[in-house]
Amino acid sequence: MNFLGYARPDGTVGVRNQLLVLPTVVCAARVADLIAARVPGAISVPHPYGCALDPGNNEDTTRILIGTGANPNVGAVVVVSLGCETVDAERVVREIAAHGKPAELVRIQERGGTKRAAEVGAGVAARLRADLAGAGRGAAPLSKLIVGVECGASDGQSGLSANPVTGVAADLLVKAGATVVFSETTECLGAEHLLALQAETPEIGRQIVAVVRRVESELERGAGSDLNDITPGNVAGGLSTIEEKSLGCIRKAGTAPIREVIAYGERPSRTGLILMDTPGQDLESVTALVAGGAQIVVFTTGRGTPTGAAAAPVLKVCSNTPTFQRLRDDLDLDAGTVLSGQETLAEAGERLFREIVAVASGKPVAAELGGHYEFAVRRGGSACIVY
Amino acid sequence: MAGEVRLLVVDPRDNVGTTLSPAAAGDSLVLVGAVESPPAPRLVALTDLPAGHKAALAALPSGGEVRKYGAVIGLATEPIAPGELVHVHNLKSARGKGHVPGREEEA
Repeated sequence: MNFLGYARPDGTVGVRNQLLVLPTVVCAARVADLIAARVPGAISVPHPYGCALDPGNNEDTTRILIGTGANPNVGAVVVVSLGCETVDAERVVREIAAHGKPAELVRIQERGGTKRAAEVGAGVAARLRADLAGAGRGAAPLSKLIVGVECGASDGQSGLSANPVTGVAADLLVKAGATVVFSETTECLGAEHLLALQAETPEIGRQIVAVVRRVESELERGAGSDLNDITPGNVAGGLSTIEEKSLGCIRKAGTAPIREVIAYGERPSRTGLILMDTPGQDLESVTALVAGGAQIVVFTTGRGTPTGAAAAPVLKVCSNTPTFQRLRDDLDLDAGTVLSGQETLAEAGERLFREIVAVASGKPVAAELGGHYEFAVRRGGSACIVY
Repeated sequence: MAGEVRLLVVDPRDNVGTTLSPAAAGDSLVLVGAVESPPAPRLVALTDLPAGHKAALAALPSGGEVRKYGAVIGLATEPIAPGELVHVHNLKSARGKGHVPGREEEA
């Protein structure tokens, strides 16, 4: 089966053709916003990171910025730097450009401040936009698709409807040759024995158990605090423990063999079902999936969330009909139908699969219509706080 | 008059089910999912149960394993009667911050 996408020089295929304005540091966020505001269709990615980070966080932030710019959905990038930050802006530009796409650098200190940098940046952005406008969609096989699956603002019904429905769609995607990446290591806690059995090899199974053990030791450091391992919204929605949340959560990955465990923001080297080692905070996880090359993220929710992602459409699947109706503008698909008996899991999963292919071919999702382009990078200690 | 609410059982090994709509104490809970039918087994809700919340399918002893999805989701902190709400007030995680030291050694 095919979708209609934008062929990129590095062999990947975008489902969108975005012009991204990417600040390397919080100090450049305002200028990035000003540049994007002057060029129709440009998307700025303001964020609070980029400087005075410890080496681990600095490298994480740098890799995530590069991965976001390199995502197949991005046609061209304007990188906005202050000029003295610890993230290496030239490296960001160089490694995005290595994917064969235009990436240009605007430095605020070099250009003489906000106003001048915004003017220069808007000129660069307008030129890149004009080049992008000539590109058209062409047929591409589903094997070119990387789909992230994520859950957030979960409730007691997420694991009974939206997640297993997404699991059916994930199985159909893998069967069609696509890659499906699930994440949130914290939400494998209590379900790792099942995931290890689902691993393609015993070695991959051991890797899964090892990353879950690491996260659990991080969580134990927070023992005695008032923070639970699940959010107040999860509890209000009927979830009682991290084990219950995890066992429902993993159902969205489907039943295919797990073929690889990859690091935060890393691109999969294989097709099929992949686990990315991320924190449980939704946006820190979604951002890493997108930086790892996911062109679409399927996001299940029970309580409802409006979130999107900087460089990829986020297709939201709701676990129950009352929430779907209440947050109708923010959500795309109602999986509450499987609880009311209107649809079987297989039918709803097939419907979601067709919707994913439609979104890949250009159908906008609710998050895009709402202007949601969130971006968040994990921080050291992410796992220890409430999620 | 008491109503009827469906209670979804995911796996035959489970000892809790999940409400598919809100139930009031006294409502009849009709078990659906991984249960033999017909006739559908029934329970009476002992407490109010919001949608997506769990009710015990059988009497659960204090300290006993609570099972959903065919796996352990935590330990009961007090005896729980059939039809009673199972949630954070009487169910505790055995993992993460709730990790019980030495648990692997006992297992």
